[in-house]
Amino acid sequence: MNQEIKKLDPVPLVKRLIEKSKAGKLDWAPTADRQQFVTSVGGDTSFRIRLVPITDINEWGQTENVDVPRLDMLDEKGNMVWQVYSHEIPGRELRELFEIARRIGNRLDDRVAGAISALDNL
Amino acid sequence: MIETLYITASICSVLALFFSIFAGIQAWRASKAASAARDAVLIRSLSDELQLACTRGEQLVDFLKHSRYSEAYLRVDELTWSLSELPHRRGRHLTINHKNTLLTARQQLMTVNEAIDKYSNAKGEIDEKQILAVARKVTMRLRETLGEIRSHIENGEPL
Repeated sequence: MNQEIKKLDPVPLVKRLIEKSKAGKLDWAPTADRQQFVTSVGGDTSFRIRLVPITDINEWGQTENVDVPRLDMLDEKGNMVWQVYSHEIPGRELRELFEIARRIGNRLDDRVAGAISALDNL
Repeated sequence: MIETLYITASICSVLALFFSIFAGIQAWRASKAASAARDAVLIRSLSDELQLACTRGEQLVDFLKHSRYSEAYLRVDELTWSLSELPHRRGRHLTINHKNTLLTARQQLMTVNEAIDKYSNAKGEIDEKQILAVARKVTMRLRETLGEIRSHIENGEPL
């Protein structure tokens, strides 16, 4: 009963989401917000990744507004159960996950293949 | 005399045992058939409910196409509520993939709801093309799910 509750590490979750997305096992879907994509797993959990604006300090010490990815985990009722911010993940893995989600959600691979085929026929 | 009675009683008990085993098997079969019939009715009713959700989705697409946002808002709400209820009430008859599809569709619709809400409250512009595309995709996914469930019903296969 006296066990210390350790901080949840989001890195394994993000890594697994990237792996499964790359393997084509996660079907990211677009939303009304072009910078937001959703997918569901296990029949009771959804993930939402989106770009959120934050104010950051650039290399010259000036404040600037930048969009950074944020991952939300939702339960079967749509309640937010966990939020993962990009600063919690080393490197650019959350950005990578967002790019993969956008690529799948916008069916970019099919569109590029179609464009290449159309260009070949010119 | 006693020996004859003893033999008759033995034969009767063997027969009684045989008939009780037979009755037990029949009862088990009947219970299985009743359960299968009940499941078939429930899956049919699930298919009817999904059909209604698809119709609402098609109406939503139509309202969005004609920029009738107040009606579209109502349809989004109705559809979101149906998709919230279905996995809980009919969860036993849905596969994990079906549940995932319904959950994702609900999340997508909630973003459409937010977008219309913001627009109605004059808090911003509406990305008509994007919400229409999302509503179309949601309706198509619901139709695909309905098709899969109907195919199982028609082929008499369990989901």
